Amino acid sequence: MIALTADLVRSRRVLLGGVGLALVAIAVGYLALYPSLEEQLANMAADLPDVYRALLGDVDLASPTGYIRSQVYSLLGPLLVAGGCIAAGSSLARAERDRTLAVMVVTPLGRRRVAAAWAGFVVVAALLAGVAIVVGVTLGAPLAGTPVSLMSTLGATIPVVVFGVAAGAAALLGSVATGSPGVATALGWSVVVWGFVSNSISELIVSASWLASVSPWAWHGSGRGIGGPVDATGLVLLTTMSIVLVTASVHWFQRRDLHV
Amino acid sequence: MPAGAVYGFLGPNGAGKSTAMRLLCGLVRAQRGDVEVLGLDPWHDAAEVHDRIGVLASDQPAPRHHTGASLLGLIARLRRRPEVARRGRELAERLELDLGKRGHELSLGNRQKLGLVLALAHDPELVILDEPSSGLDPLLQREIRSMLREIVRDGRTVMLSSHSMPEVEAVADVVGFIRGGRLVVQAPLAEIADRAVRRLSLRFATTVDVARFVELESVIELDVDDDGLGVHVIHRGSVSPVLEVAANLEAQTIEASPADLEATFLALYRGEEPRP
Repeated sequence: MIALTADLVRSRRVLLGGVGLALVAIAVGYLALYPSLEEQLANMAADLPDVYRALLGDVDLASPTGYIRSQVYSLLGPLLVAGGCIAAGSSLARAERDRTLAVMVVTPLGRRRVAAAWAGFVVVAALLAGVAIVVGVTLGAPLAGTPVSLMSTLGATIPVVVFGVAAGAAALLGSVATGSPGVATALGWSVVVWGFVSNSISELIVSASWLASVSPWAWHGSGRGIGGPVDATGLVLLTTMSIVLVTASVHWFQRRDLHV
Repeated sequence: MPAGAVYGFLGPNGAGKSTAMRLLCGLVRAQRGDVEVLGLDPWHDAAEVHDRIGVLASDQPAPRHHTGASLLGLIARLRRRPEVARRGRELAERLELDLGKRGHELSLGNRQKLGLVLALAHDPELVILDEPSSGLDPLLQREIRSMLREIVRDGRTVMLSSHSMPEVEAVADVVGFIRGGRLVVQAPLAEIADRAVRRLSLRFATTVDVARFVELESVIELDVDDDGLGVHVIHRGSVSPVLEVAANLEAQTIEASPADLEATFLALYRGEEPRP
């Protein structure tokens, strides 16, 4: 199983490396712009309606850490990490669609391990993206004029990685259940949209405030994320969800006819 | 399917050959009935079955991220048998396959060769090949037939699916014919060939007494050209009696047309004797 996961990573190293470099470049680029944008951001933040600020993740745009949260962790970071994980999860369906999966499923590895290897690929993709974010923020934070400790950066990045794994696990379930890359991708992105909607609802409806725990757009709001405590409830919820999705995927993959 | 033989699995396109082979490989589950491969259920005991069989799917694509060598290495690791890579390289050399090319750089024929290498590299007890010769030139087809005969000589078994009669006829010991998802006839090839109808065209220097052919039990029909020198004998079974008469009558030339085994199968399916 590890051999297959390693092969999936190795054979897609150019793509993974490209996404990683893009994440580093985006983080460094945005943070390097902060000194020249600081004043405009302060003016904009002062004029922003509360509800709109809530929709953006309730971040303090004017402070360096708030800027890092808003630019790296509140939109592009989760989107790129989730996008990479969804691509990894749906690649199983693509392998079935182009029939190259046949080579792997007629070995003694067994379908259960093939699905588990693909889940491992999703996790590795998320971890690599997380490392890229950490590297980008570590390199870019001094340019923004604020020191950010490695622990703070890790504390902010881990939830994004966990969220990416959940989105990738949903895509994997779509892959094994239908063999359709389109359905797998849609299912993965539905988790991302659900995360965004959860954040919006949690800020607008008091009784639904708990939904903020599972949205990466809320995790990095004031008092959380960089420099703040990691929301353990959200991590547990999303990790549980990922485990359930992967278990369902492994189970389903053993039971479905394969069109290879 | 008898062990230690080449089993030719024949049928027209859409007859259910590939579906039957997917059932045997545990890729799809039988909706009715039982499937048994090497005494195991390929759906429930898939890992063990896959350890003992080698499979080439019809028009098997090659993963674009892999070269032939890296794919062979991966399969060796997945099978936990390092010797698979070495054996695969030997087979690739024999088939004149460049293992350094990536999947998307391979032609149809080379993809087929790579699929064969992957199917045979672990020396499986049962080899299941779906249309193995498609896209290959005649020389390579001959090489593959020779490889299949070697597998059978080792006591292993080959199942070969095809819609091409000559391909199966050249290598199979036993033949099954599937039509509309049902196995309609299964018999040793020799037996099928014995009941097949063949056409023999003879040319004589002078007009001859064609009644001598008609008297033969194996002759079904006889046509004589307008000039009386050309005689077309349609017969069943062994050609020897016809050739004996032809030799006695001093035939100048003899041309044999291949038997239409498909027509023979269909006739047997209908419970009739094959007709011309």
